[in-house]
Amino acid sequence: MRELSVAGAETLSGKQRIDRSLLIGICILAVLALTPFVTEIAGGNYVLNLVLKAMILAIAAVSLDLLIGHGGLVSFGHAAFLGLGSYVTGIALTEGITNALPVLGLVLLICGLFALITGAISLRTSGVYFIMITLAFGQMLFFSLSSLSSYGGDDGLTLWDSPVLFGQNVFLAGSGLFYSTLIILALTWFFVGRLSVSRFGRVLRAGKENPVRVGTMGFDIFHYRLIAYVIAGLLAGVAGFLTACHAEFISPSTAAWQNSGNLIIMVVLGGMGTRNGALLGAIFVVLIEESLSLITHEWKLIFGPLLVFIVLFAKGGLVSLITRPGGRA
Amino acid sequence: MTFTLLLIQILNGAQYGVLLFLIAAGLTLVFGVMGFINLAHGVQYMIGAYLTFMFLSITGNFFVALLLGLITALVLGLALEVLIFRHLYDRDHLDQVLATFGIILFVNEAVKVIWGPGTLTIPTPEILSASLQLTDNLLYPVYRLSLIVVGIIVAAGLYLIVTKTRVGMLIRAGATNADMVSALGVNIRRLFTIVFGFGAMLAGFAGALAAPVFTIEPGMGDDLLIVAFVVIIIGGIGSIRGAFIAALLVGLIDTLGRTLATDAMNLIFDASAANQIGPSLASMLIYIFMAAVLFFRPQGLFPARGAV
Amino acid sequence: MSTILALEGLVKNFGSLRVTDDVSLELRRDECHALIGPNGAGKSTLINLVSGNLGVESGKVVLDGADISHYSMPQRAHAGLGRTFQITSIIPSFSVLENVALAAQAKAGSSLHFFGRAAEEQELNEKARSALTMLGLADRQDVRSADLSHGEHRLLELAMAIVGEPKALLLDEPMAGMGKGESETLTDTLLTLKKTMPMLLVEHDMEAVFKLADRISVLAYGRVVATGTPDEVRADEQARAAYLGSDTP
Repeated sequence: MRELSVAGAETLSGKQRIDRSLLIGICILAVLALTPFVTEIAGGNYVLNLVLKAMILAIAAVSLDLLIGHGGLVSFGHAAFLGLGSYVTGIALTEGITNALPVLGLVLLICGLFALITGAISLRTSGVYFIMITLAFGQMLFFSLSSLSSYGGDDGLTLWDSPVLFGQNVFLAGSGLFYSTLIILALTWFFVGRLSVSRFGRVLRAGKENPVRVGTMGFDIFHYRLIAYVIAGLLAGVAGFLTACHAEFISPSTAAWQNSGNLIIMVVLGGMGTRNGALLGAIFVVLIEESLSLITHEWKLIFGPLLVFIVLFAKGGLVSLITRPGGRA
Repeated sequence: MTFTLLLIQILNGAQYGVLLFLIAAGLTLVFGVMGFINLAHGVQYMIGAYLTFMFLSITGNFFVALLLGLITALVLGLALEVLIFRHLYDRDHLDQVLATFGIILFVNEAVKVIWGPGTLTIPTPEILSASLQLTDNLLYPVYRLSLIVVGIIVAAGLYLIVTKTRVGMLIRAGATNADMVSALGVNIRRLFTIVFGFGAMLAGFAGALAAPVFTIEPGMGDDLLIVAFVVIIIGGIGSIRGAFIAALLVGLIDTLGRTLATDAMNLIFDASAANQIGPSLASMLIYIFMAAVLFFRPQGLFPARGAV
Repeated sequence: MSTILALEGLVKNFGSLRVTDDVSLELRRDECHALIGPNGAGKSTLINLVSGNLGVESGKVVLDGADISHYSMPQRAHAGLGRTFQITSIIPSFSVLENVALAAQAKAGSSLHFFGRAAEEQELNEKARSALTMLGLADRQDVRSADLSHGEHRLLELAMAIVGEPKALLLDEPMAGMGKGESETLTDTLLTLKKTMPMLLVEHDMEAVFKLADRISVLAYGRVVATGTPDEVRADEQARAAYLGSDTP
């Protein structure tokens, strides 16, 4: 005779939830696509650049969510890939390589290597040790970038060219860069979403909740996590490439740990491990930071306590506001 | 490198190490006993420096300012604990990281608002402003020497408290098994508050001591905080002895490393390349050290389980 | 060879405490071999040594002729070892079906697939469903596993272990915390399972042990003090002393 289950047990019908979140995500991307038209009428370049900044950070945030939300790996050094990506781009452009393909190739190669090496070391730890060691590697990169005196050192470096793809200035700051970024964001969002429900993603997500059990089943979780780490590093490196194109300037502060913290905020506020969480979180954080700074120069006086408040009282993230409680967006 | 230069670097390294220890001691106890990642520990250090500056301009006496600053820093630290931190002990590390990050943002900004974004300085106190003739060629500031001495005294005192007193025993027990200690009837709440307050005071003390030597500016504690975390990971979380030895090691490696690295690079590369790679390599040294410790001995050099 | 799993001279120390003291044991292909003993005897530790959750200091673990003593946990799973945990260890946010399907996935080719929806793989779901049906959990397949009752958790544990068709099954107190009715049902299921899956069973539930076990080994203070058929062990002096103390007549 079997006991009755606990009242209120939840039945899942995965397909319904997935389709709804897919729709929401596509809507968000569609709205973003319309921005250049809207800003022709109102807002102008200022709003366009703001949204562009949000989209670039969204790429980095989505890649970080793969680690935090799906893998349970809280990396506090993810901005290192943004910094590394932007510097490889900036240095390549300064040295005369303006063809986008080799530049991107270099970005992927170097960020991939950095991710592979630091990941292989960091992933041997867990918990707070993992957080600290990723933070430390981020710092290491930050100081290294700061000491590159022939590429601006502490002050950073202005870029006079932008990468050219097949003769087109698709990465030139302006609507060219906007659409290139949107396409890359859409691809990233889609890819990570598919990754999440794949065999690989299922192992990663299970490992977040119960790594011992996953090992007992026969999965060496280290390998899966390392692959996820490298994928995330590559994607964030591309975001770094876009950062350099957007700002037409590279600076070590891109790799600062405060920037890593900012990325974590985006992921968590948006809703970790959900399809649209990081996307919403990035947009939200950029908009909030900007609007607060318009109200007062000292906006962090408001943002800081706001963050504390949200952590203490509102953990589900933005995504939980637009779906039914208990659902997955 | 001459002997004089070497000696200076060693002394500087020891001084940096001592400062690191004062910050790391509070951090390692709080994390060891409460499992609480406190990123905001760095702002405690900064608050100590700013408060000392403020009281100095009011009272004119460094030591009075130091004392007043310490007390105020303690009160502020306790306020933070009661209002915010104690609600985070049961949360996961991510929540703790985010909340304390929010506090860093707030306090760094607040400090900018109150004292302005520029750097401030305090003169070294009169009595200690002389320099001591250590060797024929070497004149080393008395203040910096006293810093090292004070640091060692505090370390010894802390070690005695933690190993010989009842409170210390409770702290060590709490670091091993907080639930058990609580089940035995000890007021674990109060213990946590004491540990936290004490740690905050040490950090503030470090900030006050450092003020005459380094500049005072918003965010001064943040980079030091990360190095402090490196120290406690190398030393072993929850271990005072580990924090002390690791802090000295890190201080020495970092300081000596910076001079030696460029020199070493000069042997291999030309001057301009060496000047680029040298400092870059130097800044990586302590992180490479930490990575090595995590790889070969992940629990740290002097793990706290059982020992101090 | 009739032995599927052989433990030879296993030793494990926790500091100065010798928790596993030169334990040798064999599991035959068609048997249920029960491991009993007073609390603290080191039964769970032994299971952990065999499954790879803990490392041995010395001794060998041989599965189907292969020395797996230095294999990692995942490697041992692939070599054909399955286990359940004394304290339920599942993926709480996954549904019952997904938990078992994931376990099946581990043995169904590479998981380095980045596309395709794992949850829709019919083969994995079918395998999962048949394991669940055997344990009577099939109608709960879509329930979020965190919401199951304790008894259902123990069954899910077992389903996850058997779906991979292991060569040898390690069961660490599968009936822990179960009510009488549930235990009886599970015992009957294990009796059926025994025919295809040799099992090393750690249990405190003596009724189940005597119903299921072909042979019993008694563990006390980290060493095996008796091995034999249930009747032999029941009559054994040392076994009784281990349970009841040395002043038993």
